Order: sequence, then structure tokens, then C-alpha cells
Amino acid sequence: MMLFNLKLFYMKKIALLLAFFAIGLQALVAQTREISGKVTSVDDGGSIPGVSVSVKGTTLGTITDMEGVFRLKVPQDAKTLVFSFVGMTTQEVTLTGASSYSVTLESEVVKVQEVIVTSGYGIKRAPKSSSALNQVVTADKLTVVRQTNVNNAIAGKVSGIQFQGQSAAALGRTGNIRLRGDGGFSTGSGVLYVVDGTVLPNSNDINMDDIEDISVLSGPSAAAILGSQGANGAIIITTKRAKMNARQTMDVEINSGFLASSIYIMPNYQNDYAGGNVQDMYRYSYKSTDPVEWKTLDGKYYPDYSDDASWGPRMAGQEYIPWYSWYPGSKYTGTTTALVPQPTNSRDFFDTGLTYNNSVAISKASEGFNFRAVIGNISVKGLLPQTTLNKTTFTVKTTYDINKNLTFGANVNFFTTSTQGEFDDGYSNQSTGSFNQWFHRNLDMNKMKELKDLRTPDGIWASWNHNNPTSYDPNNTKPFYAGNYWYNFYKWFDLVKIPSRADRLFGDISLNYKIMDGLSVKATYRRQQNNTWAEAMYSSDLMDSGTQTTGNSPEAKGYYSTSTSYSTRENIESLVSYTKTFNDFKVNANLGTDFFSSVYKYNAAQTVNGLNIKNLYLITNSKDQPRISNDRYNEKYRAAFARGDVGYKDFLFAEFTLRNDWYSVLPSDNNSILSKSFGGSFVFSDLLELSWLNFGKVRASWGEIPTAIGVYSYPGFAYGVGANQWNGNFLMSTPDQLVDPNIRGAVKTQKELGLELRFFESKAGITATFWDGSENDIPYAISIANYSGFGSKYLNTGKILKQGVDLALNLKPVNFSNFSWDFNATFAYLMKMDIERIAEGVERFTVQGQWTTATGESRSGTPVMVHAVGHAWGEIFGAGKTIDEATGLPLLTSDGYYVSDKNKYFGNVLPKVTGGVQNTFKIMKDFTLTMNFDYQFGGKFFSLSDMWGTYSGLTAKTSGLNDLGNPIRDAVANGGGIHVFGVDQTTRKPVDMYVEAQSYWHGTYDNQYYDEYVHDLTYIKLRELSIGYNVPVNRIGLNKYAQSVNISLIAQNPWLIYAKTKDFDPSEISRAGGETGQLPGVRSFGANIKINF
Amino acid sequence: MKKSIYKIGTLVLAIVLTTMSCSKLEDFGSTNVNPAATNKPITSALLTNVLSGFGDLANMRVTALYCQYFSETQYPDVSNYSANTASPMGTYSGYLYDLQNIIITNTAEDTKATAALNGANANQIAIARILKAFIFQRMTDRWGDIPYSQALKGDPNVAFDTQESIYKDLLKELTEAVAQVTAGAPIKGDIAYNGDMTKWKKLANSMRMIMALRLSKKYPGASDYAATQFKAALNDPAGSIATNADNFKLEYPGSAFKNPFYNMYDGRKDYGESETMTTLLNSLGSDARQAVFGATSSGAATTKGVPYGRARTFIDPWTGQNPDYAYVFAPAYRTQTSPIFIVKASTILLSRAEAADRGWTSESTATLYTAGINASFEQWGLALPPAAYFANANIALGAAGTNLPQIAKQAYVAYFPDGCSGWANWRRTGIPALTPAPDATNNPKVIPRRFMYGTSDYTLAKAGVEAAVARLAGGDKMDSKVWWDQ
Repeated sequence: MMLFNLKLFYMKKIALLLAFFAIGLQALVAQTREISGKVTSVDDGGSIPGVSVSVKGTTLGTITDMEGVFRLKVPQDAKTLVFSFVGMTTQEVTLTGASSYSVTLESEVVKVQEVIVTSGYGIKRAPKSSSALNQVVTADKLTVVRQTNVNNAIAGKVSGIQFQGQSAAALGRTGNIRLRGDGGFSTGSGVLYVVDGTVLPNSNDINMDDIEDISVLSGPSAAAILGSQGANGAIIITTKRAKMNARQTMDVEINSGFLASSIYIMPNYQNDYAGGNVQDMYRYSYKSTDPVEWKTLDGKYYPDYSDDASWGPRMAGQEYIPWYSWYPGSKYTGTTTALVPQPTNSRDFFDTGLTYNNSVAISKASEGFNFRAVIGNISVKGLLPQTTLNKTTFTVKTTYDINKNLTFGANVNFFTTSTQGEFDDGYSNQSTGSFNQWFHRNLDMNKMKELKDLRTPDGIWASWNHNNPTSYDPNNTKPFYAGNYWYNFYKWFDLVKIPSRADRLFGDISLNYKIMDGLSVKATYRRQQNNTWAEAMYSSDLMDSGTQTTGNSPEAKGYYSTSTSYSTRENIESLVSYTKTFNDFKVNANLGTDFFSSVYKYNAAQTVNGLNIKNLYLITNSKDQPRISNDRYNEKYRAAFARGDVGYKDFLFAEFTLRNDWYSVLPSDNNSILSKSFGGSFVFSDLLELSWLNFGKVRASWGEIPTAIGVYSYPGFAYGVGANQWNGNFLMSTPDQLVDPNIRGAVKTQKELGLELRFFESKAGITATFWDGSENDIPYAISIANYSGFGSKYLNTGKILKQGVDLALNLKPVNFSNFSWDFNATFAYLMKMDIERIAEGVERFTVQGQWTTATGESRSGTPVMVHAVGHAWGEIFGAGKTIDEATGLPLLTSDGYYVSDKNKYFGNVLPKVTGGVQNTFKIMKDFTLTMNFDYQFGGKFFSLSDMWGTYSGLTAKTSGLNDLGNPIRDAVANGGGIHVFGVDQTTRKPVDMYVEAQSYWHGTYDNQYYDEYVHDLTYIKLRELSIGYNVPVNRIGLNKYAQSVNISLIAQNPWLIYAKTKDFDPSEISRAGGETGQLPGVRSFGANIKINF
Repeated sequence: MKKSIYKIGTLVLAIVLTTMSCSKLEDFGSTNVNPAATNKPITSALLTNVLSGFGDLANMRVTALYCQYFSETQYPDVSNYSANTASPMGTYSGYLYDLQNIIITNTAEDTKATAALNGANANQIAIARILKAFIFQRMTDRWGDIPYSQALKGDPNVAFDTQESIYKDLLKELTEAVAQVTAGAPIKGDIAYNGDMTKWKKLANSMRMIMALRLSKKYPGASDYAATQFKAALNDPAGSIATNADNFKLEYPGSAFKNPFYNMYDGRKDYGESETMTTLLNSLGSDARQAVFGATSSGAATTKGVPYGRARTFIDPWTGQNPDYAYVFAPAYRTQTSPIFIVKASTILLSRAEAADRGWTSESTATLYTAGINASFEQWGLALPPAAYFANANIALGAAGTNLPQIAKQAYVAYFPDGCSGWANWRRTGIPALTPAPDATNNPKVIPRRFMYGTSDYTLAKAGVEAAVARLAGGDKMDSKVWWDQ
């Protein structure tokens, strides 16, 4: 082998020598003249070094020097010079008698239809030949406002997706994308993210500045090659690679931006009544055992501090004793103030969030080599106190041609993310869980902040929710001074530290060998590794400063937890690619294998019931036996696939995919699944040759994609051992899941029919796709009646039928040199997503409740998300008002309470219509205004915040006037109360009466009817707004320093234009079927500068 | 050069094709074997698991609120009879199946020998049957008809058995369990009786008596089914629980396993001893057991019970203005390691007193009555009541056959805090006379007499639950009566 290589080496040298010799000889014998010139760029007027200049039809040539200047001796009969450079249009210049030429080159314009689609395993396609919908979003569309998350960035820009965002106050949370409705029998299974061929578990660790484009594979026919992982569609991300530039120099790009974020959407609160339970305040009488500072308060009035609802006194500016007056040691001790509304108190709590986003990219490419490295950093100070996120990215991407056949590629990404803080948005959490559920509307948040370090001489941190002075005992002050359910919010966030870190390394190394023209083989080793740790430290002070607080949050006894995880996913892939043209036929084919192995290890420990030594965060410092747990698994699959497409005269195409997977998780005698897809397309415009129709194509495809089962779920009956022992007796419980011994993998299928048209020099284009899919015998652990002895059964079950339409429209309505308008719109209509069958004897089961017991049962009949036969996927059912069939009026009890219907239908969690509109205006060449909207119509969610906020008298609907013009909170006897109409449940006679406001709203919980708390997901929002300015570096002479400078002002979520609910941002509902205490909507404004050197 | 390209190309293709055609593609060896679990159940560990939860099974707060042992102090809803839609389901896949699993593992030929290492197969089965019967009785007492004969067999589509057939089968199960106890290897994992089978037999016989007495409304006569069953249990040579030493109780080790009443106030203070209870104890000559049943938050003696069944607008300010109200149990009786009494001598003796007073048996009502009361005082570590106590007009017995009010009242006190039993006895005897919550939100405003089925029943067991509801006069309501209450 060595010998052979040496021989090859010498042969090459000799050949080269001979070639030079021949050229020299030719130059000697021919008649020549010298010409010279300079090559500049049309775009910026700069000179271009390295341009290849040759005499057409000869081997004579040279390249331009650093100043773009060339000198060349040409034969007297030479007629034409050819100027070529990578990335620029090749230009021919006819030679005249002149000896000097000025030549300008233009950048190659990538035309709309030439955007390349990337499928699994890096296989690239021209979309012309594709038979399925492949939507590509390019970098310029993604980075309009420099979103830090890919989900936010594609919202509205791809048809057929629903993006369920998350509040920007919850740092690091990325939301969820549903493609074409959703799938499976759970709450939705999530789309697959693939970055340069590597599967990532979520969209967190993707550097937005590094994305070249995103291909969205919406259905099985597009995603079939990915196997089971792509079962719910895939988002294929291709990152940038270095490109040769005109100057043959290193490119440097600096991108720097900042954003300021503030609270936008919060519930509407009542601002009439203060905290407490009754409208009368209590009169304080000074006792000799009371602190002397309280003397000034004698005879003054106070509301019930200990009750955390707002059914208290009317806020009319009257004098009262605020919560902080009772604490010694502040300038407010023993003072009173006016009881006035605090309409912005909840909003005032949140800080302004700040995001700094900086990155530097260097890249260099030449023939046979390219290299790109990026260092990025995102630093966020959150809206919740004491919350931060810091993410640093290193990326290196390179390919190197070892020789003309063999190319080495390496792609290494490292993300390290640190977060700090509590981002709880569950029930009764320490920010919105109070403001929207249990709170006093009269609290002045600025006072709260001012007094956050106020504490009693005994060390109790002052709380707005302390007890009433009747409970004051000079020998034991805690029952009075300590928080009843809540702390000073600022103090809580001071006393809770939750740091975490995740280090993710992913990428691949590959060797590609070109066997001959059109045939190559590639081997890839791919790895995705994630190491994490997380800790939580809850100060022992919380225990000392609270009474019932630990009931809702046991961590408040003083708590420490720590966990570490290690996971790796490795793929060894091979891919053979073949391209060949036979007369009118063009064939592309691939053959590949993919061997996958994943390993996961997890260890965690928590203290239980407090810390022995206060504020010593150590597992062994646990009061009770600490809880420890560990977990580990190993999972593999092996796959072989083949795909191919054939084009006839570039207008008729056919394609197919075949993939077989073997899974370690399936029964060993039946662990293989074959999945297929095929399709064809016909570009009819090539035959019609209509002047107005530039492009017209119809396509049809059919595809299927496999689904396997969870790791270790087969054969089931895996008994663990309880973490704790009872006097040396260990505990074990029987697993709650039955597993069908015949369980097997299954395939989902979908077919598509599409039409693509482009008119008027491609100034208008439309893409329409109708899709129709089914999921059959999905392996799923279905809830079964526990009367069986088991809570669920894992089996192949069910049938889901879905259908929909995806539309995309793009227009260039205006295109003048000083003003142009680009308009893109997407629209998707989910025609149906119906559950035809669940399992034998199972008509319906619950997949998510927002208020559940430890056993997962819906508490007090609150609405749950269910899947039910004969219904659409994801229905909301729960207890609601019973409607009398005869009259259409609600049934009422004699007290004026509604009669509960335990099985009331409230709607579906999926919006019927989703989409977006993107507008780009180019003004005076250098200004760009971009406005991106998105919308959805239909869909419902249940709000637990609204339910408790109403129970607690916080929401706007718990105040106001009734139809008699009296406050609804006034006693019914005085003309107050809420007007109730209906029919009596027994006599069926009309009922028309008034019910006390508090009884009415408490009645919704006590008597179970939650109709009022189910809201609509419909919204239209302006998600992204940007005004960009391209500094004309050439015109103003800055081109010595920079190639381009772009400055932009940006806004994220600037305007929720329309929403049926006025209390929540429906585009950011925290859970599939509702919310339990979610953080508020956020909007951000900022600026960005991008400089290319 | 071309040759070498072909060589390499062929080599690569060969590698690809070999991996693809390799017959071992589907062989993953032991990859799918979970390293963190065993597939063999350990019966002793299953038993410990079930018993560890018996404190909660035997002390149900909703029932203790219905029979007015407790009051709610800050968020009254259960005590105002808000709609309660808990399902009995969870227990089937939880403790009941663990017990079923003990029976299966001790019965199946391939596993019984290994299981016998944890105690004689027959004895393990007997204990599992006794505990199953205990749980099933507490469930049917609350809901009425529930799945029984077809349950725990892996089939989710089960019929709901009538309460009558369940009760009769439970009595049979207990009888057979007592009969099957043999000598043999000691039981492991028994954290209640430490493997003492004579005590398990006494427990089973005691449960038979309680079950039989529960049917007194249906079968009042001295030669009816209930009396016959009662006598059979009473006459079983293995005997019943007659002294506190034989009580079925759990001694909590603390730490991970704490007395549930310790947990009740570990953070929250949602409950207090009800005013109904303090008033009753006061009427029993300032019954000394009040010092056990209630004390202020700081542990001081108090007889101030929390008003029962009042709305939040009343009770929340009331507890604020009356910080000396009684918490459930004085602190010394709800430490982490305080025991929970599940079946106790006092209530068995009082049950026997009632049976004697009903003429079902020929035992001495007075002797058993006094012994029952004494056992209750003794159980709590109190001095036995003086003779004067028994002379109190609300305590002293009268003519034979007329003593149900006194006996049932004492049973009500002796059962405290076991609401499930207290509520069942109130439904059966009407004693003590309880006043419905003044601020009740249900309609009609009466004390609930059963639990409604849960939403999950209608979701997952529709056919079964609907058939059961059809059998209920009044439908699936809280005020419909279960079979033995009719």
C-alpha cells in the first residue's frame, strides 16, 4: 500500500512538471501581447483578489492579486477572457485593442426554487423532484429579531405547525411544536430536532446564529428515512459552513445584541376589595402584653391578614393598618396608611429581563478545505428575581479533502448552560401562584421590595400573610409574625437557590470516499453527549419564618437536593450515494445503515423533612433518612435503508424510501419493522410554456414511519425496591402496568397531494398540500380501570385518522428599486384528527388533568384532557353546569347553585387553524422593516389560575355591578349578589334570583361546575418586529474596516393583537390542556449590530 | 489507479452489505434487561408495603369529617358536603393487588417454594386474605357496590358486585383464612403482628364480628344471618381481640414512616377536633379521653372544639379569634412514632356488648360494656375511669335490650379517630344524633351516606358503574343509601 502511494506521488509530480513544460513551450512559440486590468465587485465596489482569469479556449490564465489586479500575456488572436470566482457569476469579456480592462463581477443570486431541502442523513435534494411537502426556512427569515430559540423563530413561518410557546420568564423553556395536529395517545409527542444529522432531545442547544437553513419534514412521506424518531415529523437544521469569499481571506462576523423584557399579559384583577375574608375590618385594641410600638394602632382597623384571599374590605382610601406596621424595627412600625387600590402590584413584582447575545464567527475556505468556528454567549437576567441563564457555545465545522477522492469532515458543537433560580409555574407557586391564585389585592409591591429584609428580633422574616394580632403571644411570637401560607415574595427568591448546569457535546466525524463520478460512500461516527447536574437549596430560614407554608412546599423546611446525569447517544452510519444520468433519465440513489446505541445514568439525592444543621446543604444533613434514587438504561436500534429518485427530462419524478429497523426494546423474536414511502411529481409548467406561469408542479406521495416502545417496558413486571425500610423490612410494590406479550412496533401512514405554482416571474407563488393520515395499533400504555389490579396496559391499540390542508403563499406585490415588499403567508387547517378506536372496552381515558390527586385523578371534577372514541383528539371534559334539555337553561338548586354535570364537554385542545404572515419591506435600499405575525383559531384550555383566582376574589369578574346597579359583593339583602337564571332542578320551574358573590364563586368549586374557567386559544399576534439598517460601508468609506455593518431595532412579542381571553397569552399556555399557575406573557425590545470583516 | 478505486469501492460496499445482511441484526443480547429491577416478587416486601400504608387506610379524613370527629378550620368544603368524587379504583392496583400477588406467588407451583422462605404458604395466603377483606369492607362501606368477584384478574371490564354478595363473601373469606392457618416457618415482613398467627386469627374473628354487626339493620333478628355469623365468629376457638395486647396496630418507626396524625399538622392546620366531639365528651362526665383527643396547638388542655360545618366566612375568622381551639390529638399522641390503632379491643368488646344487648348472644352486656370502656382508656394509657363515671346518666346502662344508645355512643368515642367506622356506625344506628352542617352546600342539606363514584369510574368502567348506579335507589348521590344502610 505504501509503495503504491509513493508511486502515485511521483507520477503526479512528473505529470505536473510535464504540464509546466508544455505551457512554457507554447508561450515561447506563440505571438503574444500583454493585457492588464482590475476586477471589482458590483455589490460593494471592492477589489476581488484571486479571480481566475483565463483566455477562452486555451489553458492560458492567471489569478488577480491582492488588489484585484491581473496581468496576462495573451496570444494575438485571443478573443475572449473568462473571469470566474466561486460565489460570483462567471463573466466573459471580449478583447478589443485595449490593453487594460475594468471588470466587475456580480454575486451569484440564489433563486427561490433552488433552495436545497435536507432530509435525514444529510441527504440533499432539489425540491423540484420532491414528492412531499418540504418547507425550507432560510437564515434571513429566522434571525429577524434574533430569537434564541428555534421554535419561536419558525412560529408562523411554516404551515402546519402549532407552536405552544412558554413565558420568557421561564428561562430555558422552549415550548413545543405540533406538526399537523399531533399524534399518539398522550398529550402530544413532540417533533424531532436534527442538527447536521445529529438528533437533539429538544431545541435548547441550537445556536440560532449558526443556522444556514431549516427543512421541516411535516409528514411520514418526507421523514420516512429517519425511522421511528421522526414519527411526529422532523425539523432538520443545517448549520453554516465556510464559503470561499472573493478576497480569499478569513471571514469574521461579529453579532451583538441586547433585549429588555417586561411583563405584558397578566390576568385582569379586581381593584375594589382588599385581602381578607369579610368586608368588615377588625378593630385593634391594645393589650398590656402587646409590643409597646403597637400603642399607636389602638382603635385602628385591620383586615384579615392570615386569609390569603381578597374578599376583604372595599378599598376606599380609608385608614387601615397595613401588614408591615406590626413588625418592629422599620420606619413604618406602628403606622397606618390609606387603603387604596394597587392595580399594578403583581406586574410591579417582576424585574426587567435583560438578554445579551454575542457571537463571533470566523471562517475560511479554499479549494479542498473549509473551516468555521463560532463562539457565542447568551446571558440572561430573568424577570423573576434571582434568575439567570448563561449559555456559551463553541462550534467547529470543517471539511478537508485529503485527496481528490477522500474527504474528511468534522463537526463539533459544545454547549454549556448554567441556570439559576426557581421557574415554578405550578399551582400555588411563589409568584403567579400567589398573584393569580391566593393574594391580597391591596398589597403595595414597592413596599414589599423595600421591606424584604425586615425581620423580627427572633429572626422571622416579615410576611404580608402573617396572622392576626389576636394570636400574638409575647412568649412565642412565631404564630403571629411568621407567614401563614406565604412569605415576602422577594425574600422567598432570596432564600431559594436552584443552580444547574448542562454540558452538551455533539457532532460527528466522517470520511467520504468518491469511488467514481456519481458514486461515493460515506462513513460517519456521531455522538451526542449530555452531562448535567442540578442542585436546590432552600434556606432553613423559611421554616423559621413560616407556619403553614411548608404544607404547600415541604422544601421550605430547609432542603437540599442534588442530581447528576450522564447520557450518550452514538450512531455509526454508512451511506452510499449514487447519481447518474442515462439519456433523459437522472437517477439519485442512496443505501445506508445506522447503528444506534444510547446510555443513560442518573443519580439523585434529597434531604427529607428539613436540615439538622441550619443552612448546611449536605445530603447527610437530612433530618429524616434522605431519599436517594438512581436510574440507568441502555437502548439500541439498527437500521438499513435505501432510497432513490428518478427524474425524466427534469419534469417527471418518482421516488421511494425503504427502511428496516431492529429495536432492542421490542420482543427479540419480533423486533423488526419495515417502513416504506413512495411518491411522484410532475412539473407541468415545462410542457405548457405559459408566459405567466413560471413553475407548476403536482405531487403525490405516501409514506409510513415506524414507532417502537419505551425502554424496558417489555416484558414488564419489573419490581423495584422501596427507598426506605420499616425497621429493617424492605418494601416492594407490584408494577402497575400490564404488558401485552405480543406487543410489536407499528407504523403510521400519511399520504399527501400537493400543488405548487409560481407566476409572473416568480413574484407570486402558492404551495398547497392536502394530507391524510392514520395511526393504527400504536404501542401505548392505555389507562385501564384499576379494578383489573393494574392502572395501565401496554399494547398495540387504537386508530387515529387525521386530515388537513397546508397552504403557503408568497408574493412580491411591490418591487421598485427604492421600495419593495415581500409577503409570505402560511395557513393550515386541521380538517380532522379523530379517534376511531382506543382499545377493547376502553371508550375514553384521561391524559392530563390540571388539578389532580396523587393518583392522577381529577380533583373535584376539574376539567381534564381526554382521548375518547368518536371524538377528536384531545377533548376537554369535566364538571360543568347541567343544561335542561327542554328549556336550554341551566338547572339550579334551591340555593341558586348550578347542578353539576360531571361529564360536560368543553372543547378541544387543538386549534383548527394555524398560520402566520411575514412581511419584509426594503426601503431606500438600506432599510429593512420586517413584521411577522402568527395566529391560531379554535382550541380550548382550562385555567386553574382563573379558578383559584376567582375562588379567592382576585379576578375582575368577582367585582363590579350587577344588573340592579349595585356592587355584586354587596349582600343580596341589600340589592347585591349575582343574578342567576335557570330552572329548578326538581320542579323545572323558572328560577330567577340573586346569590351572594362569594357563595356563587365558591360554589363553582364546592358544587363542581367549571364552565367559566375554560378559555379559548384563539389569538393573532405580532411576534417579531425589526427595523434594520445596512450601513453602506462602501459609500461612506468604511470598507477599509468592515465588509458590512447591519444595525437593527427589534421587538419580540410586541403586540397581542387579538385574543378571546383577556387574561392570558393563548400562544403561551404552559401545558397541553391548560395551565396551573403559569408565568405571565412577556414582550421584549432591543437592538442588534452585526459586522462582517 | 482505477484498479485501486475499484478495490476500495468494493471493500466499502462489502462492509456495508455485510452489516446489512448480517443475520445478527436483530440480536441485542441482554440490552433490554432492566438492570434496576427484578422480575420476581418478594412476598415479605409486598406485605410490609401493604401494612405500611394501613395507617392511612384505617384513618380516612373525609369519613372523620362526615361523622364529625373533625372539623375543617380554614378551607371547609368536605365538612360542608361539597361533591366528593373520589374513586375506589386506586386501591385495587395498589395495596389490593399486592395482596393478590402474595396469594398468587404462594399458590403458583413455580414460585411457591421460593415464597415459602418468607413463611408458610398457607399462612401468607391467610394474612393476605384477611387484609384484603379489611380493605374491601372499608371500600364497600363507603361506595356500596364495587368490583369484587371479577376484580384483580387483569381484566378491566368488570361487573360491580352487590354489597350483599361482597359482605357474604368477605365473611366466608375470613372464616377460611382462620381455618387455613398452619404451623410453619415464621412470616417475614409482618410489621403488625411480627408473624404471630394466633393474633392474625383473633383479628380475623374480630373483623367477622364487626362485619356481622354492620348488617344489623338488614338482619336484626337473633337467628338471622348477621347474628348467626356473629356467634360463629365469637365461638371460634381461636378467639377474638379482647385485650389491648392483641390490638391490630402499627408502631411507626418515624423518619420515612410517620404517624399520619403527625403528618396532619406537619405544615398545615386544616383540621381541628370538632365541637360535636368535645360536647359529647363533656356530656360523658368530662371524659378523660379529651386530654388525648384534643389539645391546643401548643399542647395545652382545651375543651374548645371547632364549630362544625361552617362556611369559610365564619370559620376562618373564628379560628383567628380562638387560637386555643383543639387540634386533633394532643401532641404526645401524634408524635412521629405514635402508634395507630386499627382494630382495637375496646371496639370489639363494645360490639360484643351490643350483640348481647340485641339478644344475638348470651354474653353479659354490662361486663363487656365496662370492659370495652376500660380497654379504651387503657389503650390511650389513661387511668381507668372511676365508678362515678359509669354512674353518669349518659353512660349507665338500663334494662336489657334498651342499651344501644349508650353502647353506640361509647363505641363512637372508642373508634375515634377512625372515621370510617364511626360514620358507618352512625349510619347503622343513628347514634350519636348528628346535626348536618349548618352551612352545607349540598342539596338536600343532609349528612352524606355514601361516596359517589369517581370520574374515572365513568371514564374507565362505564358499563359496570352504570349498572351499579341503576341498583341504587336515588342514583349516584351522596345521600343515597348503601345496602346495609337501607
